[in-house]
Amino acid sequence: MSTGQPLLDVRNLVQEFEVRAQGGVRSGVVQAVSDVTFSLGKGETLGLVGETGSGKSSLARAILQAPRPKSGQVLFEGTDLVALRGRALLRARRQIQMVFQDPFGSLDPKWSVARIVEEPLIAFSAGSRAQRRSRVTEVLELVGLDPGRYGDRRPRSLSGGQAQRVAIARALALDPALIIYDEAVSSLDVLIRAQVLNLLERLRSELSLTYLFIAHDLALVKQVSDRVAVMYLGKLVEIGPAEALYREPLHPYTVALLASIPNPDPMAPRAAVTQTIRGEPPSPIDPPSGCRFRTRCPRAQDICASEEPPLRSLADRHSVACHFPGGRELNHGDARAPAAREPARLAGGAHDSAASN
Amino acid sequence: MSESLLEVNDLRVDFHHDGQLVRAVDGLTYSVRRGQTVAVIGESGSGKTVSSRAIIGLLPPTAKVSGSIRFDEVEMVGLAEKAIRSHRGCGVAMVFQDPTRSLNPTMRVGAQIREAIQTQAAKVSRAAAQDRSLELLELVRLPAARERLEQYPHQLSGGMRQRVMIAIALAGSPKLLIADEATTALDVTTQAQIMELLRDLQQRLGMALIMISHDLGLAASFADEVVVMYAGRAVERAPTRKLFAQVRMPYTRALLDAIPRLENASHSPLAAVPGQPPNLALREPGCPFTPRCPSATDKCREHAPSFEEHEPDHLWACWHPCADEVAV
Repeated sequence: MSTGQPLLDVRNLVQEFEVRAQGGVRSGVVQAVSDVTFSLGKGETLGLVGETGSGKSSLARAILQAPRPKSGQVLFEGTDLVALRGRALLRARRQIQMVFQDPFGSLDPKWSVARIVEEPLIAFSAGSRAQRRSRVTEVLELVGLDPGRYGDRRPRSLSGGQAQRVAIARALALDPALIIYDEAVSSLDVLIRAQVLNLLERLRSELSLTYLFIAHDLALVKQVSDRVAVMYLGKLVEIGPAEALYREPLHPYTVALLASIPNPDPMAPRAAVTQTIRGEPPSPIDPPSGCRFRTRCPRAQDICASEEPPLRSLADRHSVACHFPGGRELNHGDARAPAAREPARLAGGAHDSAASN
Repeated sequence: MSESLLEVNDLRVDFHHDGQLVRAVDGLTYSVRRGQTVAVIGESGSGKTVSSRAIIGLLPPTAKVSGSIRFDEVEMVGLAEKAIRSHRGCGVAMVFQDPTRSLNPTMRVGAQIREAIQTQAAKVSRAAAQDRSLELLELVRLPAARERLEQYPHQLSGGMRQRVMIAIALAGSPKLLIADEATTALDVTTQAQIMELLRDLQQRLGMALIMISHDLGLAASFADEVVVMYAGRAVERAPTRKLFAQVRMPYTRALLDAIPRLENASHSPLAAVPGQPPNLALREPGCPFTPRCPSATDKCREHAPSFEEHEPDHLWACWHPCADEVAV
């Protein structure tokens, strides 16, 4: 997978938004992304999961510098995007494209499909008119849309799946290295979603693309990801290889997320969704002290309120931010893993890989 | 009192669109017993929402409804709006996908619930309605219910807003609740909570529930019986366990295979059928799933299979049903 320098290296990224009450009075600061560090190797897919308001989309936008993060570094091919200005930033950003959830909201309804896909090429003055046209034909074919049949159509005459293919074609037009999918298949029907997911996989291997795949559906994320990162209230709480993270989730929040998935296995129909976490995430304006998950955590102890657990490595490339990380075999229905499993309090900093077991 | 609460028989709903006849629901037949949970599963445009709106009488006047919908032994098709209105709320109630758009942003939560209560029963005093509102919010387990009555919808999270919608739907103590993709817009954790709430309420209040969804996984967890719709028709229907033990219709099989599962390895391809649902304005003979079906033959193109009970309680419409599954 990744050899040498990662394609994307995010270090201590912080994004905050001011909230203003009536009359423009500053009433608080939303800590959307708090000190997030991870890297993404070339050709790798990192899945990013979490509930609404966990900061997934804010993280994606902070990587794109739109808007700029409050602090931290975003190293893309070794260059810090945060330090770049003007043309240099535009040049770098050409390499990073994004596909959004609602294709109809992200495609101009008045433009033809061909014009929509050509737009980024025009914006970057890429090639002559004829070259741009041929590139449009090429990428439309790549996403499985017949250019002759669909080129002149407007978005409203497309189905949701076709419109999302157009959005993917537009993202591909500039031949990017990294594509960020923000819930890009979440609003599609099951069968169409499977088609688009297979398309994304084919494009990734054919064009050796790197993906950051944001979604709230963990089963879906596993299908496409090499590694998976879990966010809660702006914090990265767990990150690791997809297989390991699903087989043995270490953070109680990951355990709860996995337990919330409705089980398509009918033989145990009535036991599937019972052990999920209660309540809703606290406000990101005033997050809990210590561990941000402690207010909903079944394993919470006193230390969780006083000390913030750092993200530390417990196994090969598998890190967790929890005072009482727990191993529990993935098993539908039984998620209330008691904290009693020898509270394996391992000392160590953020990148301590000394853990045994 | 008959056991069956709702009987939908050969229901058809036609729309005229751009001079074309669009048959959104085409001969749908199913029934719901008192206290039962039935899942109606299908993709966008399968007719699952249109058929349930026909049940509650919420289709626009341009829709032409024929066939029969008997609710609590009263025929609903052809009933005057005023008579339907007396059924809506205390007979059938509905919860929609997007709670943000279903609630009035300028009205306090309490006032919206009171409105629902006073619509159902004209002579309820303000104080009594207030008490009942609080009771309903506690019933749907909204935290800090008393304070919520004075709040506006934007001050609540998506899950809380959906709880308020459920409280409003319960105001008339309905015998049947239709949940139209009621958890689709919510997070997985919230979805699990809301589904559990619905199941709990259904058992406590003895209410029947129709859950309309595109998610067979959700149906597997919560429904007693599943109706799968495609292109306006029912294509397979069976008690949940029976259906999942032995899927017969290739469309249902395709829906089930296309769900990403935790057991799947990373980067494994999903079984995806090609194509998309048919244009309902082009009414072609034959089975509507033919162009996408892996087992389709010439017979399927020419003659539509009828929807029949081939095994006890298990109905399907297919010339080439899936063979018995070999235990893996």
